[in-house]
Amino acid sequence: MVQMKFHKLITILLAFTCTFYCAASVTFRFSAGSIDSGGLKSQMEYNISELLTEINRAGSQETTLNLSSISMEQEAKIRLNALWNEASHFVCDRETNISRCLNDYQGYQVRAIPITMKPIDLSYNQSINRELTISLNKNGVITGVRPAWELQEDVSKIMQDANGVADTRKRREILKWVEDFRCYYNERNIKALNQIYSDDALIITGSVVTQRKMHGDIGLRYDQNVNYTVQSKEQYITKLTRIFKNNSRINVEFDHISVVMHPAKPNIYGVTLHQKWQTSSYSDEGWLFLLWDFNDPERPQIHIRTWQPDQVVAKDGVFTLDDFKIH
Amino acid sequence: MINKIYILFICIITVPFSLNGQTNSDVIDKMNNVKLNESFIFGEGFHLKKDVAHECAISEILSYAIELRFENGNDERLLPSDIQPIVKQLIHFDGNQYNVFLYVDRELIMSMSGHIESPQILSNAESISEPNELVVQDKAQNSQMSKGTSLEERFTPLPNDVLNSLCNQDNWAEIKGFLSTYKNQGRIRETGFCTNISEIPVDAYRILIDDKYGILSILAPKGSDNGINLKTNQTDKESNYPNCKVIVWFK
Repeated sequence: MVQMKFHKLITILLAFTCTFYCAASVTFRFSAGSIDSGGLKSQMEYNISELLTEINRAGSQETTLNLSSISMEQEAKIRLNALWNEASHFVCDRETNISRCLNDYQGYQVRAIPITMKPIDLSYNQSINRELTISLNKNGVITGVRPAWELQEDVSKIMQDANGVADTRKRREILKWVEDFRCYYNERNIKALNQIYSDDALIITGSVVTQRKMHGDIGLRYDQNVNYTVQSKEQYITKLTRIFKNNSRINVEFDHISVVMHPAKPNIYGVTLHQKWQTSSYSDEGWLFLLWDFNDPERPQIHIRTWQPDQVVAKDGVFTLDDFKIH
Repeated sequence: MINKIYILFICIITVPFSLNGQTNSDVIDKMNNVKLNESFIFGEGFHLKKDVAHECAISEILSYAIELRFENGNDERLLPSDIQPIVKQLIHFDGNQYNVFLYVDRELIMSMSGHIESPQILSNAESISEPNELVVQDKAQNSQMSKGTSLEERFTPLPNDVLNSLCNQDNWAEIKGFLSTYKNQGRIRETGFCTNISEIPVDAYRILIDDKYGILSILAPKGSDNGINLKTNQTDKESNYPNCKVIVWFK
């Protein structure tokens, strides 16, 4: 009898212990001096702590996220749920996380919260250890939760190339927007893409066309020419909507990112990066050039998007700011 | 039986704690203490390779330091080499990657002398200065250039894309940035500013600017295409522009 009772006690304690280790609460605090003390600071710390705790609970128990009690924009909840349910769960590595509060035009950013990814299927091909980036608006409401760039050395290089404090802040902002931009594709968020491209955006796609020609009397010669197709924003968005509808899974990855400020227009930036595009039925790799306009820093827009497959870049070079005259 | 279960339970309770010890929780605690101490500023990098994680941390601490100094009215530049010798380092192997944590005394950063931006010609694309703020190129260097070798030997035509970009600009504010970028990229070797035609190196392209900072003409070097206006492809010369207030040359 005593043995039975002890057994039950052990079982209860074991269950309690497991729950404790799997879903211990996570605390977040801002580093000293990075934000003024006050209600907003405490509110954001509480909000982020709640979010990270819920992430750890759901990640450990392999269940869906319950974000109902977290002060987070609806769009951000949808995006985080999409990432969680379609790509990967994750858990925070540390029970106490302390990061700098970075100011941006929309509010605040918190970076470098170490996480461990828990992919839901074998299609996940990125690193297991990553860092989480959280964006908040000026009222302390969470507006975005994303695993950060994989290639931190690219980020480091971009920041070191900054020319002064204003450029440093803009580059950080650009990185955030480019991260968001990539996630819009993965999340199949056509609404956000529609907003981020300006109405008169120029979409240029390069391709290599191989032409078969007679060479003298004896043989054939193959000439490779580069063709460029120009689409309007409307055409591009229509095509993208169809692709999103027909593919259950889209995975877009960026690397080799570089950022160049327009020499005469400090709010115009050219971003060049290498893109890997994978859908259930198609994949390709190529170079993207994006011309970003930060004249309205709260609502930056892309005026030009060019995509060139690797072989076109080898032949023609990648588009840069110099290829476009900006008025 | 009870003893065995008891031992198992004790193991379950204690193993995670001992594992925590092995994963350097002390280092993480120390990092957190530094982060919560206003006396320090820090930078943190995560990467599979330790040197890359270190570079990321240096980049972060550097931009943090520059921002703090700027907020205190100090806009002298800091370089990674300035910070490198004074940072303290904590390293933690986090899962499968290195977590390099660098920190430095805030007061030390605020008081250290940096590098004052030398007033180099066209060096800062962000600030669009007026032509009369430019510094005259070392004349001795120019006169040395004009002796000895012939123009044909010295003259190196600039790439067409460089010239086309410059020709597409209509005012000084726009063209200045392009000159700066090309100079930084090494595609333009030298730039200079003058009000006297005789000071212009013979192998230099010339941008003629009026008093409203509009571009009047961009002329090829005197000895090559002898006064071709690159914007119109017609023969041209400085004297055709009595309203020219300043000439910026480049080569």
